[in-house]
Amino acid sequence: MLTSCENEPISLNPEGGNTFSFKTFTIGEENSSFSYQHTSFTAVESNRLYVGKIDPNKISHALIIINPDSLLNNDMCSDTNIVEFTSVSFEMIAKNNIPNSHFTEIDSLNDFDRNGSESTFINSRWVVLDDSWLTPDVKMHSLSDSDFDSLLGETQIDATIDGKTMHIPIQIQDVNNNWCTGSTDKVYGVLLSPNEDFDYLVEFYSSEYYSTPHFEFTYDKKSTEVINENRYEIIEVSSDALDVLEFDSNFSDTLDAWGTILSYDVNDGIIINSSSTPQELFSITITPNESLLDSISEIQLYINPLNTIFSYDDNDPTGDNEFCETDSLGVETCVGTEGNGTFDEGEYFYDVGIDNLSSEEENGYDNADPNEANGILDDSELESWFDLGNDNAPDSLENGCGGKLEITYSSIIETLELDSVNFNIEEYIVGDDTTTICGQLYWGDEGCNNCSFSDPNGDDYNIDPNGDDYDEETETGFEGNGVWDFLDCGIDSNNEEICADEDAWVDTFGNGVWDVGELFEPFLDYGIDQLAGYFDADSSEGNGKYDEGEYYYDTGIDGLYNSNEIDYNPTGTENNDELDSAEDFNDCGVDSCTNDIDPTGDDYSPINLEGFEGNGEWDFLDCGIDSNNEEICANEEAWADNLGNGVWDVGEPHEKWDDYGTDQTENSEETNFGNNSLDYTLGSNLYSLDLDNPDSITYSLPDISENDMTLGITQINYNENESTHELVFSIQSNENITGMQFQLSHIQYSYTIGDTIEITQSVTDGVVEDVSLYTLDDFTEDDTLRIQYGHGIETHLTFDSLAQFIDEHKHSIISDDFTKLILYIDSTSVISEESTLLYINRETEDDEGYLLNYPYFKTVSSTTDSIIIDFGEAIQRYITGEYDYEGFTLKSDGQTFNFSQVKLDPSKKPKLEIFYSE
Amino acid sequence: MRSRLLLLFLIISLSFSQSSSIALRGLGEPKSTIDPASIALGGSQYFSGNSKQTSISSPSSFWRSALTRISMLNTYDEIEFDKSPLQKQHNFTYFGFAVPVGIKKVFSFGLIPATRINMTISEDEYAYLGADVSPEGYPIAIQSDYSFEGGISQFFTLFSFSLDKNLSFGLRWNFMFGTMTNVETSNYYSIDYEQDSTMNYNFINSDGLTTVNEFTGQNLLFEIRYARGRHEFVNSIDIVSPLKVTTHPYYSNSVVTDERVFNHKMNLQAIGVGYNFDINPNSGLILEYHTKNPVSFHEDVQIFNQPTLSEISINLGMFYRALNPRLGFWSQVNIRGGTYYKQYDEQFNDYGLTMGVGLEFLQNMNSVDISIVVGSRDSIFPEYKNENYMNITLGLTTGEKWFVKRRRK
Repeated sequence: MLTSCENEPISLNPEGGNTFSFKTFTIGEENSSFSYQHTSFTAVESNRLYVGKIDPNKISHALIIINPDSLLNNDMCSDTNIVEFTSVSFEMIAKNNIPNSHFTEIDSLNDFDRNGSESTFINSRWVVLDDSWLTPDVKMHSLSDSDFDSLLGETQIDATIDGKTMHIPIQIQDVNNNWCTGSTDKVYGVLLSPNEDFDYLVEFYSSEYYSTPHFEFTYDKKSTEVINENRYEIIEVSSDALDVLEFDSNFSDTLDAWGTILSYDVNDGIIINSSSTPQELFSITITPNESLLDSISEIQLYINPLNTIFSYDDNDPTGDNEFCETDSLGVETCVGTEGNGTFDEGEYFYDVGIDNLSSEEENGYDNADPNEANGILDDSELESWFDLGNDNAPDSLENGCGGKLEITYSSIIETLELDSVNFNIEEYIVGDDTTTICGQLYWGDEGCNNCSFSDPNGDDYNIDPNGDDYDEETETGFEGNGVWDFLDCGIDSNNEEICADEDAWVDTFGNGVWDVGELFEPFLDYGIDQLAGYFDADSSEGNGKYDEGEYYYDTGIDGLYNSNEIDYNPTGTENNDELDSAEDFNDCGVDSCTNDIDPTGDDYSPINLEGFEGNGEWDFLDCGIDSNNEEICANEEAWADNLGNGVWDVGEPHEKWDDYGTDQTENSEETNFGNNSLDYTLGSNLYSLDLDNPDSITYSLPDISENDMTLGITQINYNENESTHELVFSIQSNENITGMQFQLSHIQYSYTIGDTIEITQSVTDGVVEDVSLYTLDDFTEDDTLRIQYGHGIETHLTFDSLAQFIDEHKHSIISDDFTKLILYIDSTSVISEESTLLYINRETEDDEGYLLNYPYFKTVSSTTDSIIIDFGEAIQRYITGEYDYEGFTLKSDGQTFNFSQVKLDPSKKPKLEIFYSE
Repeated sequence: MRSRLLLLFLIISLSFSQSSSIALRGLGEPKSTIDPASIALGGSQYFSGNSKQTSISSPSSFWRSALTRISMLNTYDEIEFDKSPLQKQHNFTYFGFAVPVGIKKVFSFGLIPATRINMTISEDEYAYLGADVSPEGYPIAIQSDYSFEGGISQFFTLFSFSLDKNLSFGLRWNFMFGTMTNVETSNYYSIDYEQDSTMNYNFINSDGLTTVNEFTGQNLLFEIRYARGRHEFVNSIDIVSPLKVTTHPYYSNSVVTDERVFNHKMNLQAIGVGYNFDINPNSGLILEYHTKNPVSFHEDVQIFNQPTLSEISINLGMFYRALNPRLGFWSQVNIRGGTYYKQYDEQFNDYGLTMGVGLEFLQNMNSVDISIVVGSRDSIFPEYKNENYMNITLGLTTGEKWFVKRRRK
């Protein structure tokens, strides 16, 4: 109900259907297309600023205009934490290193890299301007010589250079007193001028570019800092349990480890024995920090859990040693895999065979040649290889059936008295063996087109049987040379006909053009439109000769593409200069196969599945008692499996293994061997000293509970005379302790103080505009269409009849791919190595806009001879009336070197090709 | 909510189209006769041969039924061109609601199609650009595809009344709306030759233009009917008042241009006369003659820039009503047959046979009609000699006595 049926298209050519046309437009003969100069041009929008000589007679200065009012709202002026400016400078970034005092005439701007800070060639001035400079493009047009001279009259500033950066200092008091107070109504400028004897042109980046001229402020700024101070000093550490030489303590209150006590026995002995009751360990005597007595009333102490560790003597940290228990019935049960004298699955073993020698250790091992037996053809010069194809037979020994003969194919034909190879399969007896050969009938059945008497198996590689391919190096050969060829013929000195492919040929014998009867590459005599039966304006169709532009087959004079030439065989494997899969080679490396990498023959391999070495399993030789009551093992001939018990018994030969358990680690190598850490508890771990009412206090040692050890302060003894507090640390441990470390910590006293820090910051505010100051070239109008940004030169293009075409084809569809604007670039164009950007814009009386899609331009380099621009969409917009056609504008911009000049070739006019349907 | 869904359903349904080669002119194929009861009578527009002689196609016949009626139609078309695949269409073509507003006065409204097209055409010949003039330096072959879909639909209101026992009138006002989407695609191929000079085409790219035409306008159909005894005459005039076409072109290269508006003036589109003779109370003959003027729109709006064709038609039909002598579910069976002759643009002939059957049931208040048309016409394209076509239309009308004051016993 809702959907209609889907139908196949109807085939017909409807009246009123689309028609297609192709039309080419060129610019007019008269002066409808011309170049012109914007007399009001300034380089304000350029990405570059130029200082130096544009040409031998023209100098460019750079002026950067600064309005201090713009800095008012910047943090530099508004941040009240800024104490003072220590330095203020203006920074300019150049494209290359800026010439300094080390620059000489032999240097090039592009690769000059000698360090130096003195700006010898570029002078900097700090100038005071009037408000009119806030619109520099307007100001420049009214700039008189005297105005400019007055700028140069300002005092120079000693700028410094650092590579690509120029630093121009600024008076700090100006910033402090005037700029940041808004008390100046002046406009300032930084003027860069070249020395008179400086013959180069330096490119700086302007404010249109991201490496813009900017201020560099260095200033001191207020800052705050939180200070933490210890509330006490450590007076003494003593111990009744340990000798004074048996422990060490850290009293340095500048270190994080302050208050740490460390003890261990260098011989890994026990320092504290286990006990079931608490025992006193250390006493630490502290006294309150006198400088803080007025500020603090208590000290809150704790043992730093992040720096507390106690160890005990543990000889099996991973617990994998064998351990046996005998129950009440006298039955012994053992667990643990380390040291049990038996190989356990997972233990490390040496997979070197029963001989317990790796191949390298076996007597007679030789692997001096790494190229030997590596399975690849290492070097056809070192290892012999015959490019015989996958049949491994030269043509003479091929049997025609795909195989190889012991005697030649031709001799068998002769012996069998066969007149030709026109047979199917023939048998030939050699001694006791019967050999088979195949002939033409067999090849026909098998579809072997390349099989022949000279190549019975048809495996000869050949991609140019007639040898007529074009060779770029020698520039010989006809096939694929991209031109229509013929064999010129003529009469030689003996008055005989001779052609260009004969040895005695001399070019003067021929007439250089094709004549009837001379051999030629085939072509379709359809005319230069390459379409049979279509109208040919020049009657080139069917005229019996090749006309330039007619379709031809670039086959060479033989008229055959390689693929059609007899014996063409691109997949042949013989003589293809590649090692094919079935081709044999002598994989002996360089020493004629003297390697022996398994002298005892016990290596496991696909051809030695019984080998022990490298089989990935722990192997042993089962042994037992034979019928003669003699011991026999599995490697002896009379062995039978039922003689053994199938498991390893002590005394039976076996591969070595490390009886370290399944962790494959010997006890001494196990982590924390001898000094494993104890589980401990510190209890509530907070002890408070009341400094206003000091007194002695007793604490209970925290309950050991499920832990191995407990540690805590059990007594604080106050010494009123000395105003000290003795902290008594006690311990209870279920294990003998071999080492310990703990740290007495407390909650520090904190307060905030003020400070100043130095900060350097870049600021782009205040830079209003910047511009290169130079006089424009006098523009002379001539026939050359040219574009140059630096002198404001653009080109207006008007194509003959295009306006009329647009008017008359309002309903046409313009092809995107076949509509092109072609501009030919003159070789006398002067374009810098970074290329220049060419814009093709639409132009109306009072408007201009991009015609091309983003990025709106085409790049022109010094090697460009033409640019072809897809112009279908642009023309479509004119056709639909979106744009009014009043010609196009060619122009450049200041993103690249401003003084590149693109010239259009006067001998090849711009061309607009429009392909359209309607 | 239900009524909105129903309206949406109808608008979508009527948006789909049917077409023949006649559709490849103007704004698509004009649609006039829609009632299967009338179609079966040789393509009649005025008569139906049912118990009331009412036809959905004829405004002046609506007053004859005092029932409140809902009608809907379904059409299936097949067109066979000489060398091209069979073209099939299936459409929901009519929905109407009629209600009596007085004695022998009926008001109706609904949706009907005015023009339709749904065709895709692929050129079977290439156009060529020789290598000497080709922008690419090698010959280019171009082949175009065209696709047309849509047409004008009409929301109608209709008033039908009888002045006296002989004279009656019908007036149908149509508000025209709808869109038609035309897609033109040009496919470009490069050409090369095999060694035996066989030409190979290699696709390069394509350009295209999609045009969406939006229609708004009005149309007026006026009918006068005179019946006396066994004779009945009908005359109609169809006038198209200003039609506005707003065109939105979309280029394949993403260039979007402003819409363009084309306004067309009022013109007389069609005139027709018809005659019905009742041989006896249960059978009769009809004869009609219609002429339609060619309508020319702006060339940018017309399909292939070609105006619609002029058309004359002569329709001849007869009917027989078999009454159920007993009271029962069904009331009568209407058997119809006919033939017609049309000529387009004074040169393309169109012949056809029609037949149909209708069943009236539940006291003649409801009916089901089916018509079959088999015909052949000269193709307007020289590539095809003729087009053979078949058309099946199924109509369902259900009636009830609404808004009637019943007498109390």
